[in-house]
Amino acid sequence: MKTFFNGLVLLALAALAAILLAQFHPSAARSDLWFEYLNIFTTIFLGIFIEAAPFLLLGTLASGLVEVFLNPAQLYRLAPRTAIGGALAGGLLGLAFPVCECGVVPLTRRLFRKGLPPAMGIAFLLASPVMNPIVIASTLAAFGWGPVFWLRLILSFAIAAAVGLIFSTQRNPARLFLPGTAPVIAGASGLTPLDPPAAAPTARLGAALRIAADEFFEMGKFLVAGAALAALMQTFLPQSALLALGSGPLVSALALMLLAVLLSICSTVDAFIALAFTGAFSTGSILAFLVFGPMVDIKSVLLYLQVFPRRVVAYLVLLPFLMTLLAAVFLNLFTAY
Amino acid sequence: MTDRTYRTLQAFILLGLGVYLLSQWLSGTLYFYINSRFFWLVVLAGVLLLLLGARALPLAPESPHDHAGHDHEHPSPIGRRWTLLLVALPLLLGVLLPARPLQASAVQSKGLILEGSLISGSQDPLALEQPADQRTILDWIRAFNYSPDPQEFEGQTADIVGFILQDDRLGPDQALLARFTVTCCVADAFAIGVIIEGPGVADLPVNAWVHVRGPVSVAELSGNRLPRVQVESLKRVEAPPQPYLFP
Repeated sequence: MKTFFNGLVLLALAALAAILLAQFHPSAARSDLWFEYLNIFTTIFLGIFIEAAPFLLLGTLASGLVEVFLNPAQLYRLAPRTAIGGALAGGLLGLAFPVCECGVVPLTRRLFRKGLPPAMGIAFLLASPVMNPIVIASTLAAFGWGPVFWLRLILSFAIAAAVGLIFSTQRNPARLFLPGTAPVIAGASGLTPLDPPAAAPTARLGAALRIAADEFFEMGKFLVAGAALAALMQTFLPQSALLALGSGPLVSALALMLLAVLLSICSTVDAFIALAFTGAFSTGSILAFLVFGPMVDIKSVLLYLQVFPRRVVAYLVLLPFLMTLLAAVFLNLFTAY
Repeated sequence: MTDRTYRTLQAFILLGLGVYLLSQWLSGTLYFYINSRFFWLVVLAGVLLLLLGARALPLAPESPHDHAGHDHEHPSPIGRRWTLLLVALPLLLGVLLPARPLQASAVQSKGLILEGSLISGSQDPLALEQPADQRTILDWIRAFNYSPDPQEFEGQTADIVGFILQDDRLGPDQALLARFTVTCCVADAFAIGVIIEGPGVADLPVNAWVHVRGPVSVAELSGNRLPRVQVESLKRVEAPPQPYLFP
């Protein structure tokens, strides 16, 4: 990951050098094809960033408020006691906790430590990046009230609940977690709510804003990296190359799922990225991108590894992968969408 | 990097991004990046960023960053440097490189879509209600796709602005008059176009913006039904301040 970032920053510096060169020697560089590419790249990159930044910002603000004002212990008292009830409730819990996939991991860990049932926690972990008000709003903004919008919600919920149920069959829940109860999650915000008498509402609000600013940077860097990769691909990969991938019912779904993992785009904005592929890909494959990406990508797997043993992380990747692929191929083969 | 330095740099980047977003809106260059129906969100984000930035400025020297409210782990010093650099990257690119909309050079990678069914949407009936000479290139393509018989448009006068594309599939004395459509942001942009026909149009330079007026007829290109405009008047114009069409 570190070398990835180093490479990206080097690339950015090279781009900046090229810009400066072009500014000072306009006649020499402006006719250059590379300057043209740089301009296209910059326009697309800034377009994605400007479109996504408001959603990311709203997400981090909501997350800051949740962390400061909400007490997970109270929530636990309301948790269902059966595995099925837990899995279903966990799938919907995101509606109350508007966090995207970066924020959900530390929140889930905190809830686990407070005694949340595994089925509910796993379902929450996988579903909440989609089943939350901000992502629902951005998906709606991008796709409208169509099949993509509804199927994204239904599939995300169903797959998350199913994986949660599968994990609930583990007799000894302790084996699901790393032995260290307080594993370090780099850059993640903690979740201890302030004691009600200890802090005035304004102080809490101030703390929420600080957490939001921190989270904007922690998640913003993944957004910038994702936007840069997406813009690079769009600049150099002609539409016809994407169209070629978009043909087979299986290969096109696999291609977009791989893309979702590689781009690691925050779920609050991935709908806008997916929109760019609608011309070239079928609805089933677009859904594979929108359902699998929020559950599993480079950055969420890195975060999962801080909470779960490798074996469990492998299941957390494999089970959603197979279920999403199955659903996508089914949609590609048997529906007209 | 100390907590205080990190926080100060964070604050400046937040303030910078806020000023950048608001200035894009005020100068109108926001039209180069996203669909105008999201402008209010960008303005809101700009204001919020200024607020967060002002809040993050460590004005009080004694306790710029107290841990009473949260017990999170800070990223390592190296991680912090990359974090700041990456989040500042949009700001650097946006300030250093002059804002420029997608041009004809982007058609090769973004794609040119001629199939009317891929372009049209829920607003198709609206395209029919407009007076003919007020329809944009997008409206014309929608009207053609929505209408059961595009022959009904034969003879109506089109009055459209777009940029020139040359295409091997076109006949002599023909060119494409194109626009990019943007649904959300330029990431989903693709080019659409109608055929213009008249002496000399095949020699017009690619990417030149022109204003064309003339009667419409039905044509076909690669199996797609397209409007064709017989050029009666043609004027070179400046690129419009709002270069994309928003479906």
